[in-house]
Amino acid sequence: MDTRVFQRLRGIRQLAMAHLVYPGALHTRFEHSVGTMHVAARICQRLSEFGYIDEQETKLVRLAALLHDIGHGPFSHVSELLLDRHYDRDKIKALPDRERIHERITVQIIQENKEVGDVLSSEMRTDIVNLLSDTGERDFKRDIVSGPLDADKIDYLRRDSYFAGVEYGRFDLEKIVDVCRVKPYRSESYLVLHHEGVYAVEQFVMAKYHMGQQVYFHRVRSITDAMLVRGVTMAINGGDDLACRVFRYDGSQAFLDAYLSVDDEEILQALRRSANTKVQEIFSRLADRRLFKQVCELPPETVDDALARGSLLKLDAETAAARALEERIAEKLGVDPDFVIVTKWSVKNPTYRPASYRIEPGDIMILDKNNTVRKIDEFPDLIFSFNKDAASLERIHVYAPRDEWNQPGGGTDEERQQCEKTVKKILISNAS
Amino acid sequence: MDPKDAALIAVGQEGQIVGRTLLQKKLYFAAVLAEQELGFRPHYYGPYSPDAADAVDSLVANRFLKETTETFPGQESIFGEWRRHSYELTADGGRLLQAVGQTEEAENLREALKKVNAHPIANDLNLLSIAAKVHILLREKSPATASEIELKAREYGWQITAEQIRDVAQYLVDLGLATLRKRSA
Repeated sequence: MDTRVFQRLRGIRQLAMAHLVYPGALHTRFEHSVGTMHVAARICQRLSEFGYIDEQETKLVRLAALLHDIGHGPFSHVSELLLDRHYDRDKIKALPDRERIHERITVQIIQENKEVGDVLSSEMRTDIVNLLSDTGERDFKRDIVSGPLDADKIDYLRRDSYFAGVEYGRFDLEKIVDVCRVKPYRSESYLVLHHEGVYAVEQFVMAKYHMGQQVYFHRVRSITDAMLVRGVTMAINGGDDLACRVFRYDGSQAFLDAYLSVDDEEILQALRRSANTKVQEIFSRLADRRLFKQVCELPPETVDDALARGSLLKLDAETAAARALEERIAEKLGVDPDFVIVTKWSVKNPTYRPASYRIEPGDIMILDKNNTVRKIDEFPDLIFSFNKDAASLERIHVYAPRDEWNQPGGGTDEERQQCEKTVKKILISNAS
Repeated sequence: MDPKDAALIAVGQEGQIVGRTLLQKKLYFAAVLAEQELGFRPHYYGPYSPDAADAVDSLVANRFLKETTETFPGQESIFGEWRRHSYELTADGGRLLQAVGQTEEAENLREALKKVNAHPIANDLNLLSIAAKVHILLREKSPATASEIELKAREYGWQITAEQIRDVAQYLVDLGLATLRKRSA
């Protein structure tokens, strides 16, 4: 832990700019990483009582948990998206299907960083990377670090809830640890939960859903994330030196050095002083909390016209289609198109479980009275059994500056509704 | 190609696809043949695309696909039973398919699906799954013989026997994704 590469996580806030909504949410990836290691150790301790895991394996699981976020960049998940969009495609040609850049950076740090190499053997680092990977044989040790009910989620839900000052993320951690078991199946093994803990598991899943709705995808937080993405994107496209060095991954040591040398605050302050006045404006707005407003929310499923509905479902942020809409909306609202953001917001419905005879990556498994593994939705008195209509909630959101809504008497319900109606009309007519 | 369009085209082409995994595997091969990115990567059960899985869920939630579930108690599975989903186009799905199915990309995918479906293996989930695993191994690890493939499969935690590899080899050859060579004496 006492390495520069790990200590830098103290400057990467866990929830980017969620503190603009929940002022206490200033905690960082550092304490989350330590907490994840602690939870992983608790689960290993419990499993060791049944003889499932030994001391050496526990050490490996704890280290993997500690290092699982070592590759996080400024603004946490916002940087994941930026890295995927802006990596240097001339130099990184052989990106395997769906590999995320931040995953590659994590592996690179664990395997190549000198400080990490000084404290962990090469063999240990390879084992950690394997445990953090989602390919290969299903193994309960991997489930502890990265699975449907893992130490990462257990820690972040409770930690984020605590620091945000909300109660949604709470669940019975002690019970969950207590009911952890291992189920071997053929050559694989799974982390499963004894059925006595099924209500704690339900709490956990609902905590994840409610934290998503109320904190992670909170309207204002979604706006700050979208503004960060837009601001950094404009900086990169405009050739800003720091933004390019930090977010244009090219696999080189120079990139890693730059990436590991910055934190949230440094990027915020630097881009506030950007030579590009639009970038400057976005980051000044973030610093002063003069945020864009959500001027429209459109659930695609409410659109009757099948073609328009289908077209809206495919709309994605920062694409040519989104840009065309942004220009039309900007014209109507009388603002700069660079300050209009069309984006898609979606949250998975945890009460929806597509039944399958195979275990899908998101399935939490419960060991029933007959020692048979069941998916959680098979327990009839749980809320999961009541609602299986929709797999996810998808919404098209449009954000734009509406500073006049902050003035006394500004932003009346009528004014907001009128604005939303105008923007919706553009979205639907464009999609038809 | 957008995975939602791909899923619509795949279901539309056959009228009904029985099984989420079967749909995944067909899309995998079609994506390979049509050289389209649908988000597949090696997973616990072979190539899997979370994007394609999400696309199917979204199409169901937005009334473009109809999903039907059947359960088969007593079948071998970690859950003690099998459950299977079938997918069909709704009327809205048919309308959307007409609109999205006119591009060159869509045509290429449709042609690829025709090749995928032209062989009896295409409706045998087990063999199609093995074929997908073998193909991903050939592509990423370049093994040359059935026993080498068997060994490489273990790196991904996949259990494939040499006999199963031989069962699917001709399918991969027919799709133009592999060539068979006789061993020199």
